[in-house]
Amino acid sequence: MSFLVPLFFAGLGLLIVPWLVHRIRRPERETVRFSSLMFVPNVQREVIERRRLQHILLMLLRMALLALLVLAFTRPFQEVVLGANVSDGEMTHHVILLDASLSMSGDEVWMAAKRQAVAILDDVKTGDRVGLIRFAQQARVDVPLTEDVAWIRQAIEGAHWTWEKGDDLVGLQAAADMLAGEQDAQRVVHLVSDFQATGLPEVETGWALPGHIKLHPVVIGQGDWHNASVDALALRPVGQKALQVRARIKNWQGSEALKVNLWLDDKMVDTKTFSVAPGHASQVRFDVAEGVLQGFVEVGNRDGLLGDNRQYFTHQPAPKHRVLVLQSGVLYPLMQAVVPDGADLPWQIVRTTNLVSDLSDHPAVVVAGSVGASEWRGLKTYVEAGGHLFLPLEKEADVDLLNQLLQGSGVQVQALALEQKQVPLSWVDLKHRIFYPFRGAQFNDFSSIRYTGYHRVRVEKGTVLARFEGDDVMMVEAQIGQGRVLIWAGGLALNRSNLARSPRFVPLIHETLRYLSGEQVDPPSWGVGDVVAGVVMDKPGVHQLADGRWVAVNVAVAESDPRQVTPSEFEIRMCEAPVLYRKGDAEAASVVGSDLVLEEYGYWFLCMMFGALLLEHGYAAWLELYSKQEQV
Amino acid sequence: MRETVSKFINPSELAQIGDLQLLARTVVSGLGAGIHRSLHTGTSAEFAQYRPYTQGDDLRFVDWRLYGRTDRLHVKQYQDESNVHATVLLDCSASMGYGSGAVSKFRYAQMLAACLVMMMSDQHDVVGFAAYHHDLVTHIPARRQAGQMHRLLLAIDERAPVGAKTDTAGVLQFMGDVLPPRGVVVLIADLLHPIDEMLGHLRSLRAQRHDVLVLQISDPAEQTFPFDRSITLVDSEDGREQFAVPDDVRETYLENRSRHFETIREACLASEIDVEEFVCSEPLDKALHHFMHRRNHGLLTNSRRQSRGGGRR
Repeated sequence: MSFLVPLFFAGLGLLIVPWLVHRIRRPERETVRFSSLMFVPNVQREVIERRRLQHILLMLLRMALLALLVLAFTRPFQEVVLGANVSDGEMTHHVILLDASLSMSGDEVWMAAKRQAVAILDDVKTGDRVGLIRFAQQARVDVPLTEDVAWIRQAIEGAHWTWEKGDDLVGLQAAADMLAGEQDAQRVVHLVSDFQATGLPEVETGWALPGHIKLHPVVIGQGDWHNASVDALALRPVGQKALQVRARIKNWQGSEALKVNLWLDDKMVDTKTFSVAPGHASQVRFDVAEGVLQGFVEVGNRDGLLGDNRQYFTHQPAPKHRVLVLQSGVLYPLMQAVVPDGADLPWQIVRTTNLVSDLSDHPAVVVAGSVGASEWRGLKTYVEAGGHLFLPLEKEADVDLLNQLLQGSGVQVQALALEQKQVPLSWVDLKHRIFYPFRGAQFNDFSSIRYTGYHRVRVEKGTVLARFEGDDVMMVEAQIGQGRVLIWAGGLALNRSNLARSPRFVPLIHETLRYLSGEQVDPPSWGVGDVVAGVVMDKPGVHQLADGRWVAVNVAVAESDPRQVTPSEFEIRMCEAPVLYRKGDAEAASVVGSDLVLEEYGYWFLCMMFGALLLEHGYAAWLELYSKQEQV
Repeated sequence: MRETVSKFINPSELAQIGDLQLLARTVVSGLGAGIHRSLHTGTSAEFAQYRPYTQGDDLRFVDWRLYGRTDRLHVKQYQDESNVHATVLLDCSASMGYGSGAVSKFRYAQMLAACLVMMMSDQHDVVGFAAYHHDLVTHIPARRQAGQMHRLLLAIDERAPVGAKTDTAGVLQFMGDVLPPRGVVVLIADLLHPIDEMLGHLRSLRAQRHDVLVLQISDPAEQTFPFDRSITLVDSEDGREQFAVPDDVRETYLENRSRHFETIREACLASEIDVEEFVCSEPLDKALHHFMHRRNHGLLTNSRRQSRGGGRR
């Protein structure tokens, strides 16, 4: 047995502590002359000797406790041959697992990785089989297990890195799958990687490389390259006709002076130079005119990882959705809200007093006022087919017809009931998308909105979005067929509530229509490896989809992070039987094909120490109790 | 008693008085009455009792007033502060040398003995002294002669606690042989030895009509066993060593001690012997005053009353 940290043996000096404690606390043999011993009971010598032995035993127990603790810290280990108990066969199956994530894309790094992979082949014996897997976000089996080393060599020479984010779990699982059927040989996975910390799973997956497969880590690079990247990018409207491109530039490590360029339509239109300390980030803004935009923000400095220097973006004004407002009578507040003078809203309002025959062009329909029976039937068909209906319930709403529409939705509406007093709203579902803009502390209080009359709504299945004081439902969303119905039980009339006079009214109507009209909020950009409209995005850039839309695809920001884990940390996380290397991680990692691994026993000593601790406590307590009970 | 504590002299201060006579005088001066009253009636100012008139009685002592009331002749008898033979026995064994405070038991016993000698001398008694440990080391018989008190005090003062063993019984037996009957025997000792034989000789002394006083000297540490850490105790007399864990042995020690002295007390009470414990930490004058008060008011034993006029034995 050897020790990883023999320096801790100095801690054995602590063994003197129990001895000192016992020495200090030992019954003092102070000699006192006393007038007469005729009344002093005679303590039998056996009792004294027994006590002495008991205390010596307690002291030894405490010393053993400390010794075990020291031993645990010295990390004792034993060299074991990993494959010895797996298979006696001479044959070994190797899987070369080549990390092809973006972080490996540096010229020197990638070439070093390939050199190490080829070096592994040098140690492959005749009869051994070798497979090659490149992995990043996905695993790619370049060569299945074969004895044809030349094929492997050729595949390695021709291998290329990808733009994807590295996922070690995917790679190891692919390697384990490749070796799963090979029971009659030793199995080794040669992981050639930069061991980037972000490659490990963020949460515990429960999967680990089986213990019968040996992991041979080959570390590439030391994580000390200079790197700055565009960490995040967003487009924000500024006024009516302008946009601002905001990019966060992170200096992971390296030079502080950074140059950032804005490219639009393959032309560099702006450049900014500033300084960011290593480990910090800074935001840079470019003002551009509103319109169809395609471009990227680029860190102009050359660094060790060029792949993360750009982030692409696109901007296309969204097409306006058609919203049909079925209006009977004058509903001034609603119309003022949905068609404000001069506002550029993302929908196109179509006002009508009669239901048009084909509603399919209208993602949303607002019904304000009374509607006839035939129109209700048309609306029901429209909703069941996937349409969205907004129903502010006014006094003249025909409850029976409405309930026919809502049949099967789990929502039932009752006739308008007038209240003796004003009933405020007591609760709104701030997690619902309609109320997103009202989440702020200064906007989320709806108790100032009061009603003197509303329709009571019974809800069995729908989603309640707002309630009156007393738990009556104010706003509910019900599913009918493929579509949805959003009911406002209180309506919008000015004579029954102050909602329309409230500053929250217009935003609330707008958010409701935006929600019902199905406005999609695309992510600002997609990542490499994502599937967009059925197409796998395999490299960053601005791509045009089949439907004519342009999407920006960017590399994963995590790939820019140069932090690494040691092979030992990696194995503890990802392997069923982690082994620790005596000669240091880097050196051990370079010893290709070594079968000697070291098994640590520190944990056992720790367990024994805790056992001794319990024993010591129990024994000390018993000793004290026994001493008190013993009549001397 | 109306005295206050502040009136008394701290033993440690008292012990600093080198001259034993001066020391005794200092203590005794405030005590007043003597240590004993005469067993014989005589002519004195203090009335003792009536006795029926018998032929030959002095007519001067007939109480004519009583005769007028009862029509019977009675003679008045008075207590006489007569001179009895008193002997002070001082234990000089090594155990008496023990002292947890400023004053050892032996020094306290010396002071007590000196005080008693002075008090009895003042009472015109004939006083003797004997010191002993395992053997009798000093014996000055009671004599009525000039300088007797000085001689006694000198003898008391020059003694030291050196004896390797205590033989109180032997000394009491010797005293019973040599002392004239009807005397006063004062034993000053710590009584830390087997007591059966000693009690037998005390009873013998009582049988010889001696007024026996046993003054037991104790140290506060003996009363409480105040040690808190494990110790090896060394017997001051025979040098025997014994390991003791005070917390473990204290209770048993105190029980044994209490039983020992309770046995002595009960035996002495049965034999009408006065027993009093003196603790070294107590002011001597206060302890003596207390002792005298109890003795003179019959609180110790009723021996005096019972033995008056020959007693019932």
